[in-house]
Amino acid sequence: MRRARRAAFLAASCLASLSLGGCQDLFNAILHSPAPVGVEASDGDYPDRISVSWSAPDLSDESWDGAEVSYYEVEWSWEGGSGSSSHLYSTSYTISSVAEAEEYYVTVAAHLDTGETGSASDSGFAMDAEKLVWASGGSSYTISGERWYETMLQEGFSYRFAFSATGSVAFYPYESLDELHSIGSANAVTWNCDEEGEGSKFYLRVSASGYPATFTASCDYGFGF
Amino acid sequence: MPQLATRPSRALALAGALLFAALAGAPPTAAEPEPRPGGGGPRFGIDAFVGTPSAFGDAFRSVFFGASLRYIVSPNLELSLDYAFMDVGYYYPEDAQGDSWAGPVPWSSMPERYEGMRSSWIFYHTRHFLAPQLWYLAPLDRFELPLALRVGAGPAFSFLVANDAADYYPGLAEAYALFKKDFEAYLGLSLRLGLEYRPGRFWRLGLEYLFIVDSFSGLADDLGRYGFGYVERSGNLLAFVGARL
Repeated sequence: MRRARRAAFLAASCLASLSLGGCQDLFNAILHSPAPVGVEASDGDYPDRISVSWSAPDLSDESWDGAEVSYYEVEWSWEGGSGSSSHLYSTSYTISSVAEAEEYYVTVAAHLDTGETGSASDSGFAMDAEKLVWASGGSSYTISGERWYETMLQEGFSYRFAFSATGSVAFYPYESLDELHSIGSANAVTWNCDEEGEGSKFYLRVSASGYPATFTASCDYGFGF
Repeated sequence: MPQLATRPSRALALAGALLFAALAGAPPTAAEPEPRPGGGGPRFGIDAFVGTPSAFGDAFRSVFFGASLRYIVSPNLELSLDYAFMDVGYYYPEDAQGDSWAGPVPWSSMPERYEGMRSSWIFYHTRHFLAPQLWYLAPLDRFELPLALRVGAGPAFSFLVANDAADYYPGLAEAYALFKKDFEAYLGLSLRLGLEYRPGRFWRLGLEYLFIVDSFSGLADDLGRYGFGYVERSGNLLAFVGARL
């Protein structure tokens, strides 16, 4: 009953919480779970791996009676499968050889010497994005099939992608895989940027037919095409 | 010489009078040390200030804000580290190809076609001012005035922080690099002269002039050339409120 009340209080607190991770930590703290605190998986920081870090669970409460963490264990899953680490004695881990732009759901479990276990989760992804620049007269790029780019876009400007054959472009906020907008498939596609993105930075996923394909990226600088 | 600002006129006479009094009428030994509670008294302070930059015609619409962290060595001597956020310099493309970029300019000088885009505009740099200062304070308690003159000096650093957009827009990067090339020489001396009102032991209010000079010889040259007009031309008027802990 007491736990139920705590959980209800928690749910309300979560509404005011700024981040999912912070909310999860709050939950675990109130439920007295020996879960690792501040679990964070990297979002596109590396081209082929995901870095996971966390802090030790808070066992200061007398109910833990001097319990200590024996080891940690990291488990992850993605659309194509799952994996896990061996017993870990540090508070960080690197998931290597991960697929690019694939969301991985990562869970870190703390195993106590009392036999109890607590866990917390986050999601992350690897990203090998090339820098896409908006040079005078347009910048040309060559791709095979699909390629991710990172760039900055000015809200209110229009951006055009002219393909050698046909292609499409999807826009994502920087450090996120939540698609904002996609256009195509056509010989040339234009997006009038109406989003601020994450600090005006974006990921772009460009797909093109033909092998190899080329496209030219150009900006109207607010003058219109 | 790069100028932080300009302003004033009536305060000019006040500044002159203050300088005269500081040099002639209030020798260090005349200053009455403030009683320190428990033999200690305030040791640290923080001043928040607002200043008028003169580099723009619309000085009062382009005020800058800052803060000063202070260590009180003695009733007459203070050390401070001053920071001010000076302004934002905006850049804009001058043609539809992005060949040519203009800037930095204040937003009020941006072309009309970009009206309403200020909050999301990504082509800019910010300018910051940092100055460690040594201060001499001459309390005027002996004249039964809750006032003190303050004279400060020290190195002054001004630096730019560009938005990441220059990494993605080569035309902008060129314009920014061109401006930064000249700006990097902007390292000088900060000279301060002001008056503070002491309504209580833990509070300060006041006005001061801030001059940024390249060198003392440069200052002497400018004073010789412009005389008292130098204050109008190159002085930044600051108003501050401070707390002492």
